[in-house]
This record gives sequence, structure tokens and C-alpha cells, in this order.
Amino acid sequence: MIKLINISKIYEPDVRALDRVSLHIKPGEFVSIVGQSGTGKTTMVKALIGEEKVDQGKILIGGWNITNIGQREVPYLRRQIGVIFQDFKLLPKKTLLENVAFALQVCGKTPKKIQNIVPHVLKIVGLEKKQVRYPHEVSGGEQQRAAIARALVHRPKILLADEPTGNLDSINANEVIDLLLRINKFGTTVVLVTHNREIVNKLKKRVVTLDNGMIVGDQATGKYIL
Amino acid sequence: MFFLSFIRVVKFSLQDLVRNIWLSIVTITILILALFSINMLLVVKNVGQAAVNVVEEKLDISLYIKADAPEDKILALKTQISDYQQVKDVVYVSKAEALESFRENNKNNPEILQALRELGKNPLTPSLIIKPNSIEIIDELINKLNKIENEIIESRNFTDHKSMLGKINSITNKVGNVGMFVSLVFIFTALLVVFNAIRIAIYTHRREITIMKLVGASNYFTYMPFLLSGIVYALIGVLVIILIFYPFLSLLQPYLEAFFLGYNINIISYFNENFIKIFGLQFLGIAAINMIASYFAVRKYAKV
Repeated sequence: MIKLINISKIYEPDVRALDRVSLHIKPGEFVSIVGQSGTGKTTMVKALIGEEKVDQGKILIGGWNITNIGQREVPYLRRQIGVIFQDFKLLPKKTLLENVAFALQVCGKTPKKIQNIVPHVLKIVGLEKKQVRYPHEVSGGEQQRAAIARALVHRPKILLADEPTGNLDSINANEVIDLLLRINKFGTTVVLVTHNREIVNKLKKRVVTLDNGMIVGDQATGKYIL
Repeated sequence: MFFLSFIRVVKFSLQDLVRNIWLSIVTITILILALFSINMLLVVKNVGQAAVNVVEEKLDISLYIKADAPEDKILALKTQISDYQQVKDVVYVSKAEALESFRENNKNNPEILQALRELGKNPLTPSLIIKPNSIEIIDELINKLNKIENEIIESRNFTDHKSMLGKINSITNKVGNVGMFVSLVFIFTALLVVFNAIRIAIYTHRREITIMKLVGASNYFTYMPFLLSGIVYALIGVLVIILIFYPFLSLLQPYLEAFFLGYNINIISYFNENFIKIFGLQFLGIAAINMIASYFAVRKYAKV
């Protein structure tokens, strides 16, 4: 599903954010990418969504080589990968319903399809009663669930979660992780980037550990060892 | 598909305008102030031109005729000069009319009137008052008048006239040039203010622009709502300025009429006659500036 082949990303003058990283994530896997701050986790996420171009190596997503993806193709890539962020990144002047619908509107889906899909997805994440609220009117946990709904709405094969629990308390954090696990059960490949030790150790899923831009650990049911 | 996308983009644009109402009001207010200054410039330019026209209209050249010249020859000379293309109008002032005018101009000067009585006869000569078409062709006209061979002409010394008219011409030209320069600086400043107002408005949306790109919005979906907002701002701004400016002109018109008493100056008519040109160009200009500013501002934040 996701193949990183010997990728490196160098920031001027000689900061190696990623250093000859090779990683293969199979369809349906739940993988945690862990490491302290500055080890290259976010750079990896940015490379996967076309926000950063790598200086060396190849990136394949579902067979599509996105290493030198053109600017015009980036939106199409992002519509196929669901991404959730630490700061939720909801559009502040749109309701939760409109935020989720936006992801379908940019794909050109008809109003009828959107009306069918969006309330259903909001129900899955438990926000059916709050769909007309604005992001600032709901809690952090609810905002993150809305972001997950938006990421899921066009049924991506991959869900990338970049520090999704970073701004949440432990109860909300656990709820979000449970949601990700449920999503993974339905067959979506989930890549969770985090530095939250408790969550990783509780998951008992594959753990890939980064340090200084390099993979220093890759365990099938690992723990956060750094 | 394109139609659906376009409808969505329009909806996003209007939704954004309404949901950020204070930002929209402030931005439109800045546009209105800029448009007000531009329209005021037009008023000043118009009034200035009217003042110059008044001065030019006062300019004339006098051709003095011999006291005993027969009336018919004077009228023939008048006709001849009227036919010149440089001439707007020729007025014949007879001896009697010249005397009457002299008495009227000096009615508060008893010594001069007394001297005239003691003279016993009319010392003034008939004259032809020649009004040129414009101040620019004065030289040409004077040259032509100097070439007339007619024994009834008493004197034709236009040197002082030439010098005075030359100075007036120079002053009005300089006033025009300075006015043009000041107008251009003013307009440039107003447009710069508008440009920055739009950039600031886009700056407040920088996070949203980034989010739209990260969620998979194409450049069309990212840029178009803001470009359309720029057009809507321009439309609202021009409509409001029309509603504000016409009452302002109605208040101004009586003062202009009083100042230019006897001359036909109607600023409201000027704006009515050139309505489409004035407000149409303002709308297109402001809309273009808004769109350019929006494009470059959005581009800065859409690089994700």
C-alpha cells in the first residue's frame, strides 16, 4: 500500500530530516510511527501527502509513484489519503457538516450524494447531533472526530493521523484512538504518527521507531522504546 | 460539472462574505473611501476646468477702428474676421456704445466724467472685440490680424495682449499639469490602499487557505472564492458610492452655481452624462485591483 524506498530529505544547509528511510506498509495494517520531536515523523507525513518533495528515493502509494508528483496532481493525491492533524484543521467559518461536506464538494460530488453520505459519516463518529455547530462551539475531542469524519468521507484506503491526540486530554485521546482502531477494522490502512508512549504501548500494533531521520526499530507488536 | 463547481464557488464566496461580516464591512468601507477620493478628484478637475474656461472666455483682442470709418466698412471687416476659423465671435462696439460703457465703468469717478464733459465730444473710437476659439491659437490669430490690409483700422498693437495672454496660457497649462500629477499620485495612493486592504483581508484567511489545500481542494476551489469576493466588494463599493455621492453633489451644486454666477456649470449633469464611463471604469478598475491582490495573497498561503 505504502512503499518508501530509500528516501532522504535534506533541509539546507545539511539537516537530514529523513536519512535513507525504507518502509513498506501493507494494506489494512495499523502502524505507529514514533520518535521524539525532530526525528522526521512530520517530514514523512508531509512527503506522503505531497507537501514536501524528497531529495532521494521513491514513494509509492497504491502503486502510484508520487516522488515527483506535479502541483496539479497533488489535490488528487490528497483526496485519496485521509489526513488528520494535531490542530484539527477545521474551517472555522463552516459548520461541522459543511466541513465534512467540503471534502466531497471539492471532488465534484453532487449535492444529493453529499446529503446521503455526510450525515451517515457524522453518525459513525458520534456527531450527528452537532452537525450544525461551528468548530469553536464544540470540544477538542469533537473537533478531532469531525476531522476524522472529513478524512473518511471519500472512503480513503489510507488514513494518516499526524499527532491526532496532541491537543486532547486522555479521555478524548482514547476515544479518538478507539475510532481509529474501528476504522482500521473495516480495512483502512492507518498510519498513526505520535510521540504518546501510553497510546502506542496500549495499541500492541506494529511500531516503527525513528531517530535522527533513520528507522531504528520496526516491531510487529512493538512498544515505544526510546 | 463546471456549472456545479461554479455555483459552489459562488456560494463559498458569498458565505465567506456574510460569515466574516465585520471584515467585509471594513474592507468595503476602505474601498468606498478610495472611490470617494477618486470621485472628488473628478469634481475638482471639473471645477478647475470650469475656472480655466471662465478665464479664457474673458480673453479677447480689441481692434480699434478710425472714428470716421463708415459703418458698412466696419461691418464688412467684422464679417471678414468672423469667418476666420480661429475666431469664436466678433462684437462690434460703436462709438456711442463705447462712450456709454466708459461712463458706466467710471460712474464712481466724477473727475473723469467731468473731464469728458469738458471735452465736449466723444473721444472714443469704434472697435471690434474679437474672441478667440481657444487660448492656444492666440498667436495664430494675432498674426492673421496683423496681416489685414484695411484703411479703417486705427491701431493694431497686440504686443501687450500677446505677452499677457501668453502668461495666462502658461499658468493654465502649469495648473493643468500639476493637477494631473497630483491626481495621478492620489489615484495611485488610493489604489495602493485598496490593494493592501484586500491583502489584509486574505491574510486573515491564511489558515483556511492552507486547510483547503491540505484537504484536497484544487487551485480553482482555493482561489476562485476569493477572486469572486473581490468582485463583489467592488460592486458593493461602487453601488454605495453612487448612493452617497449624488446627494453630496446636490449639496455642492448650489455653491458652485453661486461661485460661477452667470456661467453654466452643472456637476450633476457631468456625472449623469458620463455615468457609465465614470462608475463603470471605477468598478472595473477596483475589481481588477481586488482580483490581482487576492490572487497574489492567496498564492502565498496556498503553497502547501
